[in-house]
Amino acid sequence: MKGSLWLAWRQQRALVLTGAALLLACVAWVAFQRADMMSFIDAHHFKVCKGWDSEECAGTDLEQAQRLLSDNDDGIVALGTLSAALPVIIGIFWGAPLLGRELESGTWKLALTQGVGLRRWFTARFGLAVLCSVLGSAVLAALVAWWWSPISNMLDGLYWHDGYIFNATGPAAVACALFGLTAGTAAGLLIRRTLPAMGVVLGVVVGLRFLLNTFRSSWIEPTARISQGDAPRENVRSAWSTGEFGFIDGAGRKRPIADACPWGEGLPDLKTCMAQKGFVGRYHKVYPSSDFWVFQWIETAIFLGLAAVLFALICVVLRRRAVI
Amino acid sequence: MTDPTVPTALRATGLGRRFRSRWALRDCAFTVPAGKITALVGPNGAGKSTLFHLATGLLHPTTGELSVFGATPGSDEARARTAFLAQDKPLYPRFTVGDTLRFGRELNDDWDQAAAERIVRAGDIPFDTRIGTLSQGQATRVALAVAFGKRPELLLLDEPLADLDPLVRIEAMGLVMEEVAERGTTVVISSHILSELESVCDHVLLLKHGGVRLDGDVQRLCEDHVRFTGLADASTGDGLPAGLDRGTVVEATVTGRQLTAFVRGTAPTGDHWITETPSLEELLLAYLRSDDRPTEDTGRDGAAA
Amino acid sequence: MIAFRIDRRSGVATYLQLVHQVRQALRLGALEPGDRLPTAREVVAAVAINPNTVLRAYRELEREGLVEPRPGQGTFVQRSLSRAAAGADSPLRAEAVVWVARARAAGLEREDVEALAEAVLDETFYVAPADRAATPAPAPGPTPSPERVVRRSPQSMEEDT
Repeated sequence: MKGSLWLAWRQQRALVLTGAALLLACVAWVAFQRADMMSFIDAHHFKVCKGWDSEECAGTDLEQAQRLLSDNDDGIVALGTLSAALPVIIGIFWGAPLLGRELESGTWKLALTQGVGLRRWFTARFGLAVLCSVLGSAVLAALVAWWWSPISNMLDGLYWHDGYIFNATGPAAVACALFGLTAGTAAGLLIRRTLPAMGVVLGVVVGLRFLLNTFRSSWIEPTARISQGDAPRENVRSAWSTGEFGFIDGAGRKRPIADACPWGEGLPDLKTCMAQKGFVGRYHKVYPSSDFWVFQWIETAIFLGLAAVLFALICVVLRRRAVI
Repeated sequence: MTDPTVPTALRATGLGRRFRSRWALRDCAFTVPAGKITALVGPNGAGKSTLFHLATGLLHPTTGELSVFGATPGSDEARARTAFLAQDKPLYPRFTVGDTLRFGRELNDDWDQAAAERIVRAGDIPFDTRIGTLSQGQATRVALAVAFGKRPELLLLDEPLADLDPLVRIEAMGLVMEEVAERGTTVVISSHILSELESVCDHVLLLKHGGVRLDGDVQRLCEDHVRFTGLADASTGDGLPAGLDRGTVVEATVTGRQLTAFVRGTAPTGDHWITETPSLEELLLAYLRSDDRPTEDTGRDGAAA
Repeated sequence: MIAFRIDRRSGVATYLQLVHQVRQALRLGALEPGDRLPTAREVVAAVAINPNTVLRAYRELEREGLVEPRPGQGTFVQRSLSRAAAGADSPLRAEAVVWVARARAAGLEREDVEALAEAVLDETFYVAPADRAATPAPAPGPTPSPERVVRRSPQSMEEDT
């Protein structure tokens, strides 16, 4: 390696090698666990069914299915937690010191008065960090998906909209890692101290994740599943229920009153009740599992957009030499 | 303003730098001659470090201009010709000495590995030692090795001797002077230890309150000033002789009936004055102690005197 | 070879300290014709002074005809200052010993003897400038001898450059 890239490597090699070793350990562990899982599925001739109330699951040996899930869910949750926490880890240990430690210790004065300029110096170190963050988070996200997919959205197992899965896989996980890195770098540059910058990036990434998890269901409209008359409602299966049930009146309006027609001893049956109140059908609002990708791309765009804004800020601050 | 026959290493015009509402440097104009050793002196907070940061492009000026051999500080050309040793002598603590020299080699096109290694070896520092475990003196030696490995034409040293014991001070200064002897490097060095600068510098630039208070060739500045002692003149309020141009007075103190004054120019006529040409240290001390009486033209025409 | 030392508190200009030390070495015979003086680089590495100061001192010695620069080789001693007449066993010294003993017997203190000797030396070695009437020292005038020049005196700068 030559020039500023050598410097970037020399300064980050401990992080790169530690990260690579941990990742390799994860790969080995997941490969072992997943092979175990697959042989269990094969041995019991499982028909892997989707959804907790699906007819697909009717013929499944529930005892064995529960064993399959309980054997693997903890591991997947642990891996998912690691993957979901990776952006914070990257922000704290890679982003915050990337410029923060240089400014804190004064070594930026040494680096920036050599033959290579600010641009090459920053590009090399930030580029290496970006490369490693993207690779690392992508591998971890892929591992989660790989392990989880054979038993995904199954019975009372892990569903796509669970935080352990949604935040740990897909393009959004990689974009979030990039955001964590950029936020850490910006915090280090603006605060000029590593430790406070670490605290700030922890707060920012966790806070943003919390906001996104809270407001995720408001990004897009859920799908209303409509059943005519008193026909039985469609099973929820692997969809993400909003919990909004209701009736459709004669004018086609949705009336979100789930308990308009309770049933029980001495009460009219559903058909009679609906006829009495003028309802012609029922609905249930859900996000089908295909919305996983819509949510993922929306959040990917949010993370990348914020990362781009922070990156621009870093460039402006560096170029204006507002540091010191 | 400056002797046109002497090439210029640094030239400042209207140079100013503001941090929020405070001006660290304001309206500075000076030149630093090439091939000379210039002492940058001034009290803490006078703007010495700011000036170094402006000269290396680590900071941009708020007003005015500074050029390094005619180039913009921080430009490729200026960086290739300048080496800077910041006050805290920053090095990467987890690098080995060998890594640190490799750092210099990787980041500079024109790098003299042999020269850098020679300096390290002369200090008996093993190449596989971690920087963090070196003594202050050894770290200074390695930092100087990185600076000299660049083969700079301009060497900027911000308080290089602070925190060093007296032996290491001589050793470090000896290294710098050796480099100057060998390559005719232009040096700008700031220091608090005025007596150490006396035997070292050709030129002096004194900053105070963010402005240039004195700028010129050491020998000429000393000759242009005079300190005289005698009986205070009771008829004038300040004890100075009536005919003396008050604008030339750098410092004057009356103790009892005795007057001691430091003036730029010649002593007042009359044989009742004991006059002496000051040493550089005395000159600098007088300017450092004095309030801002001599107006800025003192600083401006210093080099032309 | 000669090893220089610098007294930063003496008030004597650094280049003059170097000049004195070379002269001293020449007088004592520590340096002899043909000896090489240390290079500017060697001197400054040891005593941490401005290389121009060394060059200035060497120029001064060259001007006095004591040393001679040989391009590419260094600066070499050209003539010695050691004189047999000033040696430890010379008759002049013996006379001086007798004279000092008489002065002491006459009740003079060391400082009185020194002042007396100095006055006689000043009178004897004083060279009048062409444009001024010869008046005996200590009138302000040209410097008595380069050794005595200190930077503090206003005249010191006139004699160089």
